[in-house]
Amino acid sequence: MNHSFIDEHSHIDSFLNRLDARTKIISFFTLILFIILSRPDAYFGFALYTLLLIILIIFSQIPLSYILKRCLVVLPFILMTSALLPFGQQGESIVLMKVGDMSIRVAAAGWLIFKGVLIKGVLSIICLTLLTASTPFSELLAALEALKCPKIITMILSFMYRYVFLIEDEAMKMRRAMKSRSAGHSRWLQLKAIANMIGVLFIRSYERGETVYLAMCSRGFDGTIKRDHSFDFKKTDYAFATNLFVILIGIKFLDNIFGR
Amino acid sequence: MEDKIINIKNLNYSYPDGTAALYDINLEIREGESLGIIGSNGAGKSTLLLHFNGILCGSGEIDIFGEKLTDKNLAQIRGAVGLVFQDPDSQLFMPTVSEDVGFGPRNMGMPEHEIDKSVHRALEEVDMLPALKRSSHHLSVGEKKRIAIATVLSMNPQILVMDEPSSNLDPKHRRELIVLLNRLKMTKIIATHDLDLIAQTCSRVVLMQEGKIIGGGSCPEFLAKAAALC
Amino acid sequence: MHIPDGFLAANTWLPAWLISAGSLGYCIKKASRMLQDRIIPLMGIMSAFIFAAQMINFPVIGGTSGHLFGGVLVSVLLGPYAGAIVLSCVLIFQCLLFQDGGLLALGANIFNMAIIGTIGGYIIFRTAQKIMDKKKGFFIASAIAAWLSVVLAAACCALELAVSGVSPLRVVLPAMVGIHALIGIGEAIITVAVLSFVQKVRPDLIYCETPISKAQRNC
Repeated sequence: MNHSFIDEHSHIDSFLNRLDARTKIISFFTLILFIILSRPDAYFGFALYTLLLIILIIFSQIPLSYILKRCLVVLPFILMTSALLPFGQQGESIVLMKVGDMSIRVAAAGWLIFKGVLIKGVLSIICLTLLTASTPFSELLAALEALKCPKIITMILSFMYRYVFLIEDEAMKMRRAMKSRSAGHSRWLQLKAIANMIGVLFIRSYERGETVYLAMCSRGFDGTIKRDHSFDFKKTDYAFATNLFVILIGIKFLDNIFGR
Repeated sequence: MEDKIINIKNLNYSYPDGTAALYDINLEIREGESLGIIGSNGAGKSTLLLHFNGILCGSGEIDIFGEKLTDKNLAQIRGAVGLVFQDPDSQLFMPTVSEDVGFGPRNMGMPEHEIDKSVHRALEEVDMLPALKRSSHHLSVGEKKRIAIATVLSMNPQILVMDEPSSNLDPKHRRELIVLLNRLKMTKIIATHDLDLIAQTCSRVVLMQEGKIIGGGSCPEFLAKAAALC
Repeated sequence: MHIPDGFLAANTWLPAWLISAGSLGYCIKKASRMLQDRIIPLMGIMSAFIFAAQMINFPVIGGTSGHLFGGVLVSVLLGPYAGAIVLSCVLIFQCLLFQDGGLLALGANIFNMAIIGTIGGYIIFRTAQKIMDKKKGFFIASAIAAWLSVVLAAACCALELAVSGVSPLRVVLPAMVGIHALIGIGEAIITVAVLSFVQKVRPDLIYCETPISKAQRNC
């Protein structure tokens, strides 16, 4: 499996990449919060948020095509989850589309929610993509830790990041070996082979975990992983965070006046 | 006898499930020598190596630097005996190379600026300084093996213990590894079934079979005899 | 089943975050007591394993393919607390690196899949195992638990969507439960098949048969 896109752009030397990872986490979290808490029909606000995100993308120097590609990968899942939303609401209905004499009707209230949820979903995904694409994963974890996320979780994620590709490579090799021997097998046998493969993967991973633990002990591990991560909270960080906050309040205000 | 850096007497070890792994091991290692431990897979080489820094504790006597292993000197001995595991992917577990090489010194409580220095020195010794900021996942097996050695060199070990250092290496990387091993001047213990590697790096060799040491001698002579056995 | 941001209202994602954070904290406390120092490398690599296992597609009825969710599998193998930590870390990882599931909705996703799907699944497994006899009970219980865990997690998801006011319960609940009742069959089959393999090869690694101190201790 190819995950080369991870950390692909996190080493670009751009304004957004240079920001302290803590600033970015808090800022993007706030941004998502503002988007989520908008009314479902705050289209004027959504337009302004989109504009803001485009400006941020320009500042990050991450290619727009990359962001769009990441969105397209996740979009089907959002559509799947939201497919139900237009249906089942009470109240008057509207005609969604006309096919010959047939017309598909959905409840107006449901349709409104559906559109709102879809826009919010996509905008939040752009935020999240921008955050993780502009920050190396190890820095993101260090920042999470600085923001009081339990160290055990960030360390587990760090080990996970280190070994996930390794295990996937192993899985892929096994899959290939399996395919080369199992042509024409029934579906039931294939299923069994896959289950055995997952079983082997589990045992190998467990044993790897034990060996890694021994390797850590050999180098004086005593239960806590000491890491040196110095953050520098610069003036630009303050400026970015406060400006963003002011802009978000502004958007909310403008949307209240002009959006209705 | 001051130059006996490791002295093992009557060491026996069984795994928790009851399988016996080591029988009556007696072994002396002198300062500055390079000892090769040879034997086929499952002979007990790796299990023996894990006793050198107290990861496993069998019954019997193990003196390291003339001292018995206790809870008190465990940390110090783990710093002085650098153990390099066979699979570099198990040895390199941190997100970046510099954090991996700094892991040992940091656990030993070295101050931050000295950690930096020893990380640089260790990586320079294995010719991998350019990889400092990279993540281990993207390195080749040969590079990973070198960095795995650097992760213990950064702790300034007096004894370097290696498990199958040449496994999975192509001929070119293997040759480079041999040059590197000969450049490192501390006491070395190398467990492998790569007899040619032993011939080029070690002065003395012992042969293990089914958890026992069944022979040993100085390198070229004994290897010629042992080649038939393993 | 990963809920993206935008679907849940603050009356849902906020309490879900609090409940999940609290439960996860409790699981960490319990699991670190059992695994001690080994918790970080072991849980880290186990999370990577579950993540990789979830990527493996297997054929289901009619040319479609499904994939493992792994809640019951991991809790039977590693125990409920470690299992919940592993599943949570997989969800956080997917959210951060793959934008699979939202950031504000993460609490709800952890609640559905790691708390209900994994710990809940384990409780179902233990209960079912106690009712049946020892030998066969293990597999039947894990099949029932695997199927139910998927259905229950989907029901929670539906409930959250309904509470958030985006869809009425009478629409979203039957739809979610119906789809996942089918998905759950695949989950049950693959869970049982993996467990029977591990039981044949390394029964010592299965938590509920030999809990704690499974591996060699260092001294």
